[in-house]
Amino acid sequence: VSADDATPGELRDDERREALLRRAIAALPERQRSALVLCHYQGLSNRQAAAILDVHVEALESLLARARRTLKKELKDHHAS
Amino acid sequence: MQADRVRQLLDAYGADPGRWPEEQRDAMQAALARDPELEAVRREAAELDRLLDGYAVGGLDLTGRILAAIPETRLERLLGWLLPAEPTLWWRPAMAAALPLVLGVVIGVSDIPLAGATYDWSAQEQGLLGGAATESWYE
Repeated sequence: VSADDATPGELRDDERREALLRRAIAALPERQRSALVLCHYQGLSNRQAAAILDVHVEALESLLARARRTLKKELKDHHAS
Repeated sequence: MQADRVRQLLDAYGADPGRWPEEQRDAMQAALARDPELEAVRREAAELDRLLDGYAVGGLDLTGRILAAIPETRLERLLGWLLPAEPTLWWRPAMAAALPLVLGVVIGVSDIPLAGATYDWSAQEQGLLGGAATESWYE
């Protein structure tokens, strides 16, 4: 829903969802959050992100998977409540 | 590519092929095309991607905090990776001065103006060059 087309209720839903996601990302363990930011938001390759975090690519993938799993659970729990 | 590996990559990188490791994209696409169960996993990952993409992460200044938290002992190795084949130390003062630009380019901080920059990199430089990693990096 674009901001132009959204009803007030939809805008509130978007704001609530963004606030929830912001809290969930901020609550991630530091290294999981770093991995997510570098790969998902900054678009670094797995090797670049792994080098910056000083981990092997396999460990980076584990950090990313744990971060995404946590965020998915937080969002699902929120929708269920 | 084994189905378990496809699931691992979807769990880590999400559903967008642009985020998958480049050397594994073709094998991923082929595996997804022949296995409806994996395609369902991909659709689930795409839903989370959509939510994450709707969030402007810049508000938390997370990239700056990541850079600031890189331990000093890793600076030389990181710079060596960024700019290889410089075995002597003569470049370090110049490199330190150029560090914000180099990291800005590498990290891809597109919202930071590189020409006539007004962005304050002092905290990042202090963290990188002074080694004051205050975050619990090894969490």
